[in-house]
Amino acid sequence: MSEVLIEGVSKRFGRTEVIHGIDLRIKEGELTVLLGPSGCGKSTLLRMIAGLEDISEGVIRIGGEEVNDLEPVERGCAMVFQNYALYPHQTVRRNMAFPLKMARLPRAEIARRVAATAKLLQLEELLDRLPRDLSGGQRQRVAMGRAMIREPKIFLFDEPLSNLDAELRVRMRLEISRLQRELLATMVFVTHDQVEAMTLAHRIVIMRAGLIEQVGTPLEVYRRPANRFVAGFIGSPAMNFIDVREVRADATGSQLTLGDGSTLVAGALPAETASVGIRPEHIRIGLAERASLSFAAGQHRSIGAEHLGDRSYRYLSLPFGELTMLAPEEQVIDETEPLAISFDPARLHCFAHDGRRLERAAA
Amino acid sequence: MKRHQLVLVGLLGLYCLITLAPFYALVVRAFTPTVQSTEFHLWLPDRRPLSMNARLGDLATIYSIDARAFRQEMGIKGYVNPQLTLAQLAETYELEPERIRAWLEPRVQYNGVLSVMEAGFLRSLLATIFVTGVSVGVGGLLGIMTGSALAGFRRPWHLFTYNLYMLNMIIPPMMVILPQYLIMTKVLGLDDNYLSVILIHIKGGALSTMVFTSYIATIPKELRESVQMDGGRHYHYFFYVLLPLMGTPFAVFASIAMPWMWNDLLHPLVFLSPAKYTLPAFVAAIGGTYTTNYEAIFSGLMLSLIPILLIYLVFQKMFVRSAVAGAVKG
Amino acid sequence: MVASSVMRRVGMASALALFAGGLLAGETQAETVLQVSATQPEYMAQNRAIWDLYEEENPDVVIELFAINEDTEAAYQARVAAGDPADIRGLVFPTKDNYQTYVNLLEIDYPYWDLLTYDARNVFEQTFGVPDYVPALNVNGGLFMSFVYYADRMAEAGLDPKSVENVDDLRALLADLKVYVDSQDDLDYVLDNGWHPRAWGRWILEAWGVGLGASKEEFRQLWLGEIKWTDKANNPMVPALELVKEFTDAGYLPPNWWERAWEQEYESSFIGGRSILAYHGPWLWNKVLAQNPDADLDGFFFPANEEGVIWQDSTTLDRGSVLYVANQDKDTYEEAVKALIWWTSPEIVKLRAESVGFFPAMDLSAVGGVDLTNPQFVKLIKPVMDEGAFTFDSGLGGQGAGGPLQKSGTPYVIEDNAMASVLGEYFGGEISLDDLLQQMQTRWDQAYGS
Ligand SMILES: Nc1ncnc2c1ncn2[C@@H]1O[C@H](COP(=O)(O)OP(=O)(O)O)[C@@H](O)[C@H]1O
Ligand SMILES: [Mg+2]
Repeated sequence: MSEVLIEGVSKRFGRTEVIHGIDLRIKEGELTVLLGPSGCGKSTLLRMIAGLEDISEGVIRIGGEEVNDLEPVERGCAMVFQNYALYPHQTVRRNMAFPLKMARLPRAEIARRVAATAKLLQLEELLDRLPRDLSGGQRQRVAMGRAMIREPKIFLFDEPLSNLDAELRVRMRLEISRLQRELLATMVFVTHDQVEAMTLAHRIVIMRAGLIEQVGTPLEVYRRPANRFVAGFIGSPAMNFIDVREVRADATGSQLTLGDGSTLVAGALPAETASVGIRPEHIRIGLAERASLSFAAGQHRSIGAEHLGDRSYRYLSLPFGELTMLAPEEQVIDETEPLAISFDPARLHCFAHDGRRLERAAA
Repeated sequence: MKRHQLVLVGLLGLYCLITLAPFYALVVRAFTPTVQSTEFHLWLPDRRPLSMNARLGDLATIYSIDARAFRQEMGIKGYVNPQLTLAQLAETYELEPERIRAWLEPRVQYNGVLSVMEAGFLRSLLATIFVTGVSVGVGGLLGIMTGSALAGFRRPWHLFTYNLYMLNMIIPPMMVILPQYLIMTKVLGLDDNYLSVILIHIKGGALSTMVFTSYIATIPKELRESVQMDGGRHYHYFFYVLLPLMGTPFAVFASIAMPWMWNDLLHPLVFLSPAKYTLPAFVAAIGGTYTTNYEAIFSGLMLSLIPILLIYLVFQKMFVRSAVAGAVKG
Repeated sequence: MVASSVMRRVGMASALALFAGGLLAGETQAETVLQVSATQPEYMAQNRAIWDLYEEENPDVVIELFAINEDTEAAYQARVAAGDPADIRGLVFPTKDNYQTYVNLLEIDYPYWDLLTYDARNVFEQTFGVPDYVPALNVNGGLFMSFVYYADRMAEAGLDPKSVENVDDLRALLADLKVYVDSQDDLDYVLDNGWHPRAWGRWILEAWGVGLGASKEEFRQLWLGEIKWTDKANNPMVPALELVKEFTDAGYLPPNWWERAWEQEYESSFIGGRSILAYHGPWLWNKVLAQNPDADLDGFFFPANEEGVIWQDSTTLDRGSVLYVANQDKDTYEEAVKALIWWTSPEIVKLRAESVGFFPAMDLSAVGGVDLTNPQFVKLIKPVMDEGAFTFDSGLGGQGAGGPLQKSGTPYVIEDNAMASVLGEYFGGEISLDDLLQQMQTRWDQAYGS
């Protein structure tokens, strides 16, 4: 049993509280990602689970047992640090053997396990090298190996990939996924990179300023962000937000008055909608969809583009604000011509004044 | 070679020459008779041959010749008037003048080196190696322990303690020599004991604290946490991780502290008796009040430089590594 | 791997440490060990030979003889201040500021007071105004200052220094010698000298002053305030100062001689043969002969005054041996007293005087008299004494007599390194004799005046 239960946990450094009474359940056998902007308290939470930081308030249970006063090693957690924390003067072999040596395992057993783990991670060739003679990816794998070798109940990762280049990061992501599946391990993975979170996680915990904003599967947090913060944080480029001055309901649906006074007709929306959000990939050029906005020549201006190959993100300046959209590469947007954009109203996200998500009545 | 390279090589050569010149001068002076020591010599000057008109006492005074050893060597029993000349001695005690000459000639010819050797240079050298070695080793270990506690100044009292150590640096040793002497002799009972000098060398070292505290602060705290996660205790971290990483700061510490401890004059003079003097005190004690055997003093200086030069050569790799350590990240 | 090699090194170091510790610590303990400082560091060997006799006579006593020189003095003083001095120290200059550190030797049963040729029991009162206290035992008679020269070179120059009978002869000798020196490439100085505060402040100016007609009594009056320093007509030092200036101006004394270091420059240039005439005490003779045993040295005194008196330094407690009050409660004290009495007994004083060549301040006729063979005595002092034409005045000198008046911690009038430049200003012609005397008067007023 390696479920982690976090109940009303707070953390104070001196007088500043950085975690404000969090409740969270980390399911056994799942890879849970703690995601949030830098400084929001992800590492602190992880380190409290690990036992490297005291818990100021609340209770953490692992497998049902309260671990607040247990030493790290007694909690059955292993940790992979951002800088790998390999012991610089020990070979790969000795680095990996270290936890077992601390556990006073017999030599033969240690050798057997090191060999097995090295095989699993394809480290056999490197066993007698020193960390400084390894590449970044190799060091990363050694760190993983050292974490795995004790067969811990829970793996804790603190931004383990952020020191790698983009290509390697993708590869290691896959590797971690594979290991997770093979070992059926419970993993907690801290990152501030939402792509990493989306691709790796079974469940994402989105944090902000010491609080949890939303917990859900990657698709849940993408499709139904719990608030404007999550909506803006998940997805790249970020969701477009359009301020709404007024919502008028009539027979056909709702008519929204935007910041510049123009109007937009969409399906039935909650009356207290203060802003709507639409992802760049859900906007089309032309009047193909049900909700649409038209701009005369000179009313719209292009402020930049990001080319992905066959498609590109276009950054537009419109009367009610800026807008990002995904368009086919060959699509030309001419400032001297009128422009129309449209989208499916079902793709609209509605948010109240306080940023809370508003659910629409079923259409 | 281009012209500016030539100029550079020339300047470097000049620099080497300027650096090495004092060593050369020291070697020359170590073999220059005291009577000629006020003049500057580029090469070993000629020396007057030993005269049978020389008085034994004068030889003892000027060349630090051990009259007691002379008497024993010549088989002379009882008291000998040191004012007798060698010729008179030969006559009075019926000695072959050649025998006298054979014993004394080399002691005059290589007076400096032989006098310091006969005065107990090797014993003093051993004592110096012992005191310096133990001081550097134990002082370094204590510095590592202090540094690992203070590094990062995680608590307010850490900084306070650190500053206390630093204060040590501005207290002139002469100022506290009396209380120190009283503590050593009256409280610890360490009079005429090498431990007293070692204790002085390793007590609250500002240098070791400074070097190790700042170096250990650069070691990622994750290493310690990793040991903790792996089930190790603090001493595991200390011995398996921290200590092996201390080569570089230890070399820095040793290369600064070692010459200082090696050359310490004051404390051995105060705490030790002449029979136990370390090298600088040993050399200082060669001097006289009205007459000084400069040849012996310079020989003593030269001989006491050789071992420390050797130590530098032997540990050169370590020192060089400490110098490049900043450039290559591990 | 690296850790183990570190451990190995640590292991080796500790093994070496144990080895060295064992090697160095193993010293056999006799029943009593007395720490004794040499009377002068350069006389270690001479002293050692005599203390060996003591060890032979007292097999349960070990004499640990050691030397104290300028470099080691401060460290030794730290030991003294910490209450742990040596058992016996030689070569002490007691003053009224430090005498209480030393045992009052009137309180030990010293049997030879009456053999001492000076008023040892009262001399400390005469020189420092402290009655009934003898902090040191001195057996060195007052030293003799004299001209010393290389006789063979003088003969080569056609000069006969022994014929100097008065100051005009001296002037003539120096003038002739200057001509000779100027003609010789290897010679740089006519009458060699340098700065030494004691030599100039206490000995040379007084010795020449006596030769130029004054008496030691007049010098005592000068220091006791009975003659004003500024009283040019009566100040007994004035003729000597003027003569030194004359010799400086004439180029006999080395240029800026008051800036020359006594040992490293002055003595060295004479020993090294860059001059053939110097004015010095007994040591220079020994030093020259030690470096060059075949040197043909001879000497002559500064001419005697009209009464036939030649200056000799007074005998005081200076250079004496002491016991320390701090040791009085120690187990070794009784042995130290015994050793000191032995060290200052007639048989041993005879050996000591003969071994380093000082004129003893003790009547040694009971032990067969002293047989001095040191060069200054043989070549100069003995012939003059035997001839009997002159008397040597070893009475108290001016500075010694002024001692009781001197305030604690004040400098002497001339025996002070600060005076080198002041005298230099006068001898170099920058200030007048009146200015110099005024400065001396001021210094005297500050240190001795009421
Ligand atoms: N040891 C500490 N002492 C004081 N403040 C800390 C400490 N560790 C972290 N903090 C603060 O707590 C907050 C959360 O930090 P952290 O958990 O490291 O954030 P992140 O989400 O980037 O991992 C930050 O504001 C950080 O400055
Ligand atoms: Mg973090």
